[in-house]
Amino acid sequence: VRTRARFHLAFLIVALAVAGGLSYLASSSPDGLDSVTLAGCELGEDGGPVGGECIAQNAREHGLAGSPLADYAVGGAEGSVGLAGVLGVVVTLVVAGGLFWLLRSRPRP
Amino acid sequence: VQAVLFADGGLTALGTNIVNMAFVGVFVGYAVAVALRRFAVRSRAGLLGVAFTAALLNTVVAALSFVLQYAIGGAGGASLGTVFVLMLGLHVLIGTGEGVITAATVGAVASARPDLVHLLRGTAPAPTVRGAA
Repeated sequence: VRTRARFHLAFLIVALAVAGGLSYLASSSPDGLDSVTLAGCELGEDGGPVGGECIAQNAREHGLAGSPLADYAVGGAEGSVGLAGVLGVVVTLVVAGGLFWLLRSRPRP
Repeated sequence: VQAVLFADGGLTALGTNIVNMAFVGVFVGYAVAVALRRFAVRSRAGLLGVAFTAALLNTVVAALSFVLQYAIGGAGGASLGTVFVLMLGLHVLIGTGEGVITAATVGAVASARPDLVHLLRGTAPAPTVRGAA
């Protein structure tokens, strides 16, 4: 049991370090699908489509764009991607951990 | 978490995203890995090669699944041929990266806990338990 607890602790530290630290090194370029949806359009300063013909011109604002952690920032604050990442790790661990906990194998009653 | 908490990735697109990546992609990767199992159990290089191939095809087929959906009900703005060529080309590159990461991960797990690698089930002796659990 101690080995497992140590493994979980190390796993948690690595996940928090990646989300809280390495996230500052993330590329801000569009990903694969994003760049395909922008093909054919001229891009404005924010990287959004301003002219031409492309798939992204059909895109609308995200329904939750005003939520507290939208766009990987805490309340829209500049440079808060690390904190947002740490919160994301915690939420993911709670949600995924909780679901797997519900699915764990138990002796049949 | 990405779509709801971070507002990245559309809510209305969540269904197609899940179908393409979690269903189509995962089952293609699984089918490829099972089909190539005899190479995976033969040597370490074989295992890494199979992991790489499965992850590459997983990524590419998931991207082509999107192209199929775009052909059926896409919002338009770009021709089907353009979307096909761009999606295929980009996701061969992305899939290569995913393949390298997957091979490294599977290789690491196979070294530390071969009993956890599904493809190797029944090929290696059960690990000896060190210390009291």
